[in-house]
Amino acid sequence: MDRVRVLVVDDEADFLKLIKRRLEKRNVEVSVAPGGREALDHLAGQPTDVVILDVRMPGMSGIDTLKEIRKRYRETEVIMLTGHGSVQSGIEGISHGAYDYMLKPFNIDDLLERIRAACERARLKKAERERA
Amino acid sequence: MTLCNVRRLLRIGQYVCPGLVLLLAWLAWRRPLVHIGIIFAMTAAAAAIAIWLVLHLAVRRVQSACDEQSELGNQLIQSQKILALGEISTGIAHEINNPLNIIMQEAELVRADLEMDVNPEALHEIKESLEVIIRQVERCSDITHKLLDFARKRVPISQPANLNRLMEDMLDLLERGGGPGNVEIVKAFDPLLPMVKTDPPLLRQVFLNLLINAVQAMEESGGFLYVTTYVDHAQVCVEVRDTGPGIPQENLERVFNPFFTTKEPGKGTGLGLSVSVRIVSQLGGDMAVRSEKGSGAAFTVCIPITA
Repeated sequence: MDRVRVLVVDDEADFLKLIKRRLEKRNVEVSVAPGGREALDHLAGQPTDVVILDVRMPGMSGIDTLKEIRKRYRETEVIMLTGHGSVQSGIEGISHGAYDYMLKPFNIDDLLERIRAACERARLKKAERERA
Repeated sequence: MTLCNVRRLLRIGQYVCPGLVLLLAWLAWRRPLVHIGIIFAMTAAAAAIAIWLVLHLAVRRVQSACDEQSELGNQLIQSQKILALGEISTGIAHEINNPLNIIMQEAELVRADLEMDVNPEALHEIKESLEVIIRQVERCSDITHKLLDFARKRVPISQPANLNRLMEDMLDLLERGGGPGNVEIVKAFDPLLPMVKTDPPLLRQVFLNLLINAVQAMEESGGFLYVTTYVDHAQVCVEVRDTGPGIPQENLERVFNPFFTTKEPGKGTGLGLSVSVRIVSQLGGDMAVRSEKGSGAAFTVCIPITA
């Protein structure tokens, strides 16, 4: 399988740095964005398989960003990141078409497994579109 | 045997019977008794015509009965569609009119406040009214979003999935969100549950919906939420059962209808279960409900193992 291209969106700079380092060690191509708007700008220029999206961010919320991604990039899958205080948003995310969700704090291998499954779905969607 | 099958038999009979009689007449003609043969042949021809006429009339009768039956069937389907459309229209009107009414009242209040001297107290009221308006507009938007979601044609993308894990994830999300409150969750998962090929995000949405409904049904009374997984007739099934007040018999057939809800206004649009049942059907599975008033409700989702 080709290298997985992931975009991590979170307003915590330290978290972005850490997750980028840990996922890259596992052969994942990682880009980061500090907010929803920046994420959409990135997606406009860079093909991405999976977006890991924090639901609680200042400015454009995770849910609004998810809605925009679903509208514009149907083949990109989204995994929502939720904390204790934002589980309701996680539930909302699932009903708005997020592929999966992760509760913080999470295990990196568990996240990697979900990224792979989401990536496989993105590939199947693409194949489906090409067949149609 | 249906009327249409009877019609087919008669149609065959109308050719076979006269044919047999004519065959007998021909055999008699070939014998030396020619006169008797002629008489027999004429009688046979007359009998054949009579039989053909009787059969023809019978076929006409049966055909007309069949047409009538089919017409009645069409009318029934049409009237059921109209009934469902009526229920949906009433549901949309009801759901949208409630927030619209609140928006209207608040907007009028704001206008009245602005017509008077705007003091700090009035400013505070205006701010409150605007917040209510925003909330109600969000409510309207949620309804239209759910309606679009209901109407959307989904193309499931099948991936191997473990339904134990999918359900466990949704229970985790619910528990950590402080959802169950005074509800105790009892899990009985089949550890040997086979993997199924299904669309995991769509199924997560269905499971979450069932869990939230079950918790809401026991919000006041508290109780037990039983979640069970098992294999049944080449299907993997997940049952979500609550010990809430249950669903009255007269509502049981309507729970999957769009906009059918027994929740308080603003707490549910009545689209969750209808969306869920559509999703499960698109995944090649079945969804069923059983309940008795006073003893909770059980929703079962079954997905074929070979799907």
